Amino acid sequence: MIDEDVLAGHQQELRRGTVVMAALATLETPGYGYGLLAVLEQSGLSVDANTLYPLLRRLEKQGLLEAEWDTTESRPRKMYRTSDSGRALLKRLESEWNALAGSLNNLRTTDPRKALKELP
Amino acid sequence: MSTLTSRYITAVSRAVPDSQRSDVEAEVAAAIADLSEAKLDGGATPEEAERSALLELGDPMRLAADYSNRPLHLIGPDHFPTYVRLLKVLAATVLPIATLAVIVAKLLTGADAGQVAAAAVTTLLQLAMQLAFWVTVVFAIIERSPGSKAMHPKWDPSMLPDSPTGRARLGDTVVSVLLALGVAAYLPWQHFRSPFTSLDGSPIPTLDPGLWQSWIPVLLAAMLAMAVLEILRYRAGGWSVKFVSVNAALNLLFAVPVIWLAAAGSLLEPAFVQRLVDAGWANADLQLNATIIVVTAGVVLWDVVDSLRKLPGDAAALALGTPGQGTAIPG
Repeated sequence: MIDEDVLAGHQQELRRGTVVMAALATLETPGYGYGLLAVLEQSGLSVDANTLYPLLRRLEKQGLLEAEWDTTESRPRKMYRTSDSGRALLKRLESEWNALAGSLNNLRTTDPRKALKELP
Repeated sequence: MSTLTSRYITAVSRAVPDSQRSDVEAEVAAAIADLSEAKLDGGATPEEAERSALLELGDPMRLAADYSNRPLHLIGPDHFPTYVRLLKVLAATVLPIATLAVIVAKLLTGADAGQVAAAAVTTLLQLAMQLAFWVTVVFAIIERSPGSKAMHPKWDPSMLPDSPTGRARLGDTVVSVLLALGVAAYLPWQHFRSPFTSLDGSPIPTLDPGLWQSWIPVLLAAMLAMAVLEILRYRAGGWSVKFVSVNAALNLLFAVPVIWLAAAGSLLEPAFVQRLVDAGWANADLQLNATIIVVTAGVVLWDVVDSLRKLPGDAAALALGTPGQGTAIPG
């Protein structure tokens, strides 16, 4: 059996960074913090509220998200939207992600011992 | 706004920089409102909803640190290696030098053995704490200053510590054996052929001849055994735990009597000291004894520390099956 703590640690490392991609992808449609939290939760990418809210602010500071206070509702909410540079970044990250997935699949399908033997 | 929520928001905003304060306050307030509204929709009472919303956001210090991108550690991974390296260097240089200086100063002012030891120990402890404290303060400030990420010295292969080459070096061994034999030879030599002579032309020993009945044979034996030990160690190919312990024991066997006798003022022959005083060296007794104590303590400390320092490397080299033999590089 896998130790639960070990599993959780490695999962966390694997997921780190995917939240950024998920946020940039989801906020192509403008949304606010809690809405994004719920959407991510539903799609299986659960994030802690105390991780997501500061992250959104950081992405905004880096110019990857545009934000404005929406005051039309009963109380003010900060609406986020992916900016042009956010979209560009997402593209780069996605191709990186796909390249990684491809490499991993290659390693898993070819006999790893053979791959090592082919090295000079 | 309830007190719990407003207290939480205050706690967060107090921990973020002024410039971001109102922004972060508004964002945290909106987040709490959203989270507790969701709990309310789930059927919780307003109190429960508020409580669980705050619990979800967690420790306000941590949240504030995440919002303002500030470190929650004193010294981060960028500076930690340099920090540890600097502490080690200071501990290995400043501490022994300063402690030795205090010992000398105390001895020169005529303190007794107990006072000297107490002063040495307190100095050592206080200085160690001061060093650790101030170095930590400086590094914590560096960690928090902008642009410090680019500042930390790049690691370079030349910074690697000595590898476990181990091995007894011929040069070391020869020096150690000569030193031990030299001290051993001095003991009888000073008795029979001192450069100082009394009025009738017979030599004045530098050490109290009464000690021949007690300590001088012990000192002589310790030094001869030390010379033998050095040779055995060289043949074995390096330090082992056994050699280190025997070496320390022999060192103590020599140093403890010498320091004790010097501190008690019964090491030197009074007639010899009187000659020096007559020659115009008013404080000869005190200053000679102080010098003997410091030099003995220094040499012994160095020898023991050095053997301990070399032990891991030698043990590793021996374990690899490459004992030094005569092929080791001298020096």
